Amino acid sequence: MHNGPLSLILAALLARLPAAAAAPGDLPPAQEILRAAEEALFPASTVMRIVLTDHRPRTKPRGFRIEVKAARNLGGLLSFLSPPTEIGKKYLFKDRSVWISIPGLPNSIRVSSKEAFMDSTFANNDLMDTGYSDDYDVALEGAALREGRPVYILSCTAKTPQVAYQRIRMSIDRETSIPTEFEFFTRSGLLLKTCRFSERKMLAGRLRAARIEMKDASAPEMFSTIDIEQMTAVALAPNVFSTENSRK
Amino acid sequence: MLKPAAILFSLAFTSCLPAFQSVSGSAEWISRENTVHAAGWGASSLNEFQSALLLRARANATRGPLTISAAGQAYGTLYGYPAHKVHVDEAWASIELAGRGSILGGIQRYPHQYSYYWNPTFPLTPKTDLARPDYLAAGIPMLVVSAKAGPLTPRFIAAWDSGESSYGVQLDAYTRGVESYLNGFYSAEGARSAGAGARAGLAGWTLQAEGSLVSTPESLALPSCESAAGTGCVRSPGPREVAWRSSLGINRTVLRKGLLAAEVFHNGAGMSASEFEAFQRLAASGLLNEVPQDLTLGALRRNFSFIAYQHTHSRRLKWGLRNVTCWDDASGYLQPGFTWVHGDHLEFGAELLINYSRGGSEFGLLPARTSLSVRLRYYL
Repeated sequence: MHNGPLSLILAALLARLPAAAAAPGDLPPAQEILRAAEEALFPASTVMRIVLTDHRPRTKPRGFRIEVKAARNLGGLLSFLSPPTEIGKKYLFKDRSVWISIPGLPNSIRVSSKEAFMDSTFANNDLMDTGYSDDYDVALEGAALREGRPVYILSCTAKTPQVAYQRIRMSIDRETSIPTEFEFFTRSGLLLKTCRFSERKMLAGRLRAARIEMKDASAPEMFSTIDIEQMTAVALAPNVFSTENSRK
Repeated sequence: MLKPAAILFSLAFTSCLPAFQSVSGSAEWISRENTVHAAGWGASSLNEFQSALLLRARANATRGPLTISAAGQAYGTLYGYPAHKVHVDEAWASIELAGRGSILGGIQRYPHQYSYYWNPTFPLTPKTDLARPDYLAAGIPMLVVSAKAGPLTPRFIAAWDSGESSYGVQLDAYTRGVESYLNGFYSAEGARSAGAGARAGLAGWTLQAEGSLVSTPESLALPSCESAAGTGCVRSPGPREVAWRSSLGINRTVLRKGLLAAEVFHNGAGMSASEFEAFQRLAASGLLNEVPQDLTLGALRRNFSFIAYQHTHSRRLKWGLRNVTCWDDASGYLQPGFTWVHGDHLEFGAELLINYSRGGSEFGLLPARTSLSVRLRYYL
């Protein structure tokens, strides 16, 4: 074996490469990683208080304080707590549709969940659909290092065209199962949005990401953030997610 | 301090006032905090001065499996017609038992089903004024008892409207993203109806369809003017026993920022061209002392359409355009409008109504060709 400059260069290069993918037998199944990530994001049934803020150049950021009730496989109900112009409005998410109840209107308006939520970079279902394993086929691409931490890379493909994003690439922390980044793509592979998870806090009994930042690839200077102020794991009854309840 | 743009807008608005046949404005103070909210409202029109005060309150309390809610709304006219009168618009209370059922009683408006403007299947719903889509008619005394059985919600409804009692049952269902209902009503005065509807999302579209068969012994309730010899009156049309009413609608999100909605409505009990002509002669002759309550502008003829587009330009600015057309006589109106939110408390909005109907048509009966309404709301 020859020692020399070439060997040193090769060794330096190898040290910078991401950790090589482990043998298939060493990695958990992709579905298991995804389910662990869903649990790390939100409890199966939860009540949260969040602040959604829109950041645009040359504009003062404007935030909405919202109470979110969400239960996997049941739906989500958002109620505005501030600003005063929005109090009383409710968004109910179920089965890929959204019902909007506005004080003074006699009935709820039903719209698609793909609509942008309050003109932010989040779509309606980004806020209210806390589960991915039912809507996506998931495969494990491998492992990598992100900001010095080992992560799994998952590739999720939509089972139906009705979901908002046809492909998602997820980076999931190997040690904590907390997501670090999601990239959303069209079916043709065009990057639509990037979502980053940061600021870990103890929420609902475990360490979770308390800040979610969503950027639109077509307008990277604008982004929206969700800061989770409170989170409680609470068993929610199915009737919470009914159009009748959302009109009260 | 007012910004230059606001000053310019105010000047432009003021200079355009003479062009409008009707201008009205309103200012509201609304608080929706927590479980109790109150609103104060004042309105005035340059053509016909009226002012009123509206107060609305709602409260909720939960005790174990029981949730008790109460709401009330009253407005009093301070000037105009009728003056100094307090009208209770809503006053109801409900008891809910842990998601298994509820009892709701009091003066209330029963919600529309799925259509934005028309309600083809629930005869007890107070009529809305289709020339003013944001207008809601007063509530009526009503008792609604509901139960929850899986995806099904059966209801019993009893209502009393101007001394007439009505009873009905409705079965609501929700399964696999599809909402649907069946209902049937009976009034002590002999009216009957049976209706059904469904709403679902499909490939980004929301689709809805509703219909009912309505049988009323005096569906048009027009007085005869046979005795008015020499007035040129035509005999009023006879009562129609059974009529079909239906509504089909769709909506879709456009470019993630806009909502496009369209509906068509068929009123089988509506007037044909000759009947409408006869009705107008009756009205002009002065022999029609009182227009029957069933005759609501925007539902006199048979076939209507509504199309609307609302665009969220930014967090602060929304604008929209809607059109209502009567296809029997090509009458109708356009309504462009916008809403501007300033800060966290102030909302300003304006809507223009452009009536392109000819005289002697459904919407030709509207009082003005063009009208502008402006509103200012301050949320406490």
